[in-house]
Amino acid sequence: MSRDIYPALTGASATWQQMNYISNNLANATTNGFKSKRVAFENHRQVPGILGDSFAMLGKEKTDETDGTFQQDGVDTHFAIGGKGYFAVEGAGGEVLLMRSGFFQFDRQGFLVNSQGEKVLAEGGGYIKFLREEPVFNVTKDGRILDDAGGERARFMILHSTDVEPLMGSRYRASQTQDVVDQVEVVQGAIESSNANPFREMVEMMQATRYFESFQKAMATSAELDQKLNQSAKRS
Amino acid sequence: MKSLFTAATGMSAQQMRIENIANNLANLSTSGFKKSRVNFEDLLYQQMPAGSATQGCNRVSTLQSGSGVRMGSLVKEFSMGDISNTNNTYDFAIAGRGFFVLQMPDGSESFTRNGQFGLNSEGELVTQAGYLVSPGIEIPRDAQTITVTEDGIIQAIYRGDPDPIALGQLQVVDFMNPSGLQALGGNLFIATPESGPSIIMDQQDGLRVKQGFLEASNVNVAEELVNMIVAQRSFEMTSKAVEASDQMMQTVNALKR
Repeated sequence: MSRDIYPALTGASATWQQMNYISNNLANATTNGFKSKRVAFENHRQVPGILGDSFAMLGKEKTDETDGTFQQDGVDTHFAIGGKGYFAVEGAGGEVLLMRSGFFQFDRQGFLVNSQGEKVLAEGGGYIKFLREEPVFNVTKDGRILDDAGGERARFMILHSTDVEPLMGSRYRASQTQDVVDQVEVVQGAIESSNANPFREMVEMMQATRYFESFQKAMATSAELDQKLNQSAKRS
Repeated sequence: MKSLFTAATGMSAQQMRIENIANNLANLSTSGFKKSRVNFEDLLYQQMPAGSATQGCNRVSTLQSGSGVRMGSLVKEFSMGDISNTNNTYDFAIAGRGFFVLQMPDGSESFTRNGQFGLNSEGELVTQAGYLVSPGIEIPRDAQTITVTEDGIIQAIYRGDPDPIALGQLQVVDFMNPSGLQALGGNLFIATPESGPSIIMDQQDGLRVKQGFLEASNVNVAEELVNMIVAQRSFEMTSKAVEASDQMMQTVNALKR
C-alpha cells in the first residue's frame, strides 16, 4: 500500500470540519452580536525530504472582532457597543459572563436582563434597575444611566478580554477581563447585527467543496495505483 | 455530517422569522397591535484540540466549532403606534405606557391597548367583543356629552348644567415587564409571573388618556419588508450550505466504487 492516500485524507477531513464553521457562520447570519469565526489549516510534516509526507489539520481559529452593522430600532432597552468591549451579565452561581448582543429587557422586578433572564451588571457589581418614579430610561454614549435631574445613577460595566470562550446563548466566558468603559461607545436604541459576511462564506464554501473533490480524486488515484500494482504482480 | 445539521438550524430559524413577519404584517391595521420581534442566539460550541503544540509550549488556542442557531426570545415591542383622531366619544388611546383593564366573563382580568370601546345594552362601557371595561362604568342615557380627562375620569355633562358630573375613572395599569405578558389574541393580554403583577397608574406616573383617538398598530411596513428580504436570503444561503454538505457526502460515497 502506498502511503500517499493519507495526506489527501487528512486534507479532506480538515475541509470537512471547516465546512461546519462556514455553516455555523451562515446559520448565525442574523444572530444579534454574533462574531464569525474562521479556521486556518496547519501543516504537519512527518518525514523531511523532497517527497516528505505532510499532513493537514485545522490549526488555529480566529474570531472576526469587527463590529456588525448597528440597526436602529429605538427600543430603549436595546444597546450596541461601538469598539472592543462586552456587556457583563451575572450568570448562574454569580459568574460574570460577557455578551456582545445588547438585546435586553426589564424583568418583573425591573432589573435589566438578557433573554435568559440574567441580570446586566453595572460598574461596581450592582444591577441596572428601572425605577417607576423615573420612567424615562436614558443612557449616554459613555454608558451612564441618567436620572431625571441629569445626574448619573449607574453606569454599565463594559469589559474586554483577549481570551473569550463562546457559550450557548450568545454569551462568552472570559478570563482576565479589564474594564474598558471609557474606550467604547454605548449606543442606546440600536442592536448590533451579526458580522458574518455572506459573500466570503459563499466563496469559502465553494472553495471547500472543490478542495474536497480534489482530495477525493487524489485518494481515488492512489487507490487505482495500488490496484494496478496488484494486477502487475499477479501477471508476473 | 455536523455541518448539515448546523445549516439546518439556520433554515428553521429563518422560517420562524418569516412566520413572525407574516403575523406582524397581517396585523398592520389592527388597532393597538404590538409587533413582536425574534432574537436569535448561537448554540453549543464543541471544543476540539487544534494542531499540536511545540514541545515545551502551551497550545495557543482550541477550536470551538459552533452548532448553529436557535430562537432565544420572541418579544413584543411596546413602542407607541401612531395616534389617529377619530372624534368618536368612546375611542380612547393611552399616550405612553399603560393598559386598559378588562373584566372577562370568568371573573379574571385581561389587559389591552386597544381603546375602541362602545356601550352594551345596559349602557356600560365595553370593548368591541363585549368585555366590560374596568371598573365598569355606566353611561347615563340622558347625558348630553361625555368627556374623559387625561387621567381617565369619565364625566357627564347634562343639558342646562355647566358642571360635569364624574361617573368613574378608567382603570389603567402598567407592568414592570410588558414583554412578559401573554397574548391571548383579540388584542388581549394576561399577566404572567414574567410580567409581574399589574401596577395601577396615576397622573404622577405619566398617565395620559386621550379621548377621541385610537392607537394604530406599531408595525412598520418598510422594516418588516426589509426583514423579510433578509430572512429569505439568509434562508437561501443556509440552504446552500446544506447543499454543499450534501455534495461533499456524495463525493465521499464516490470514493468507494
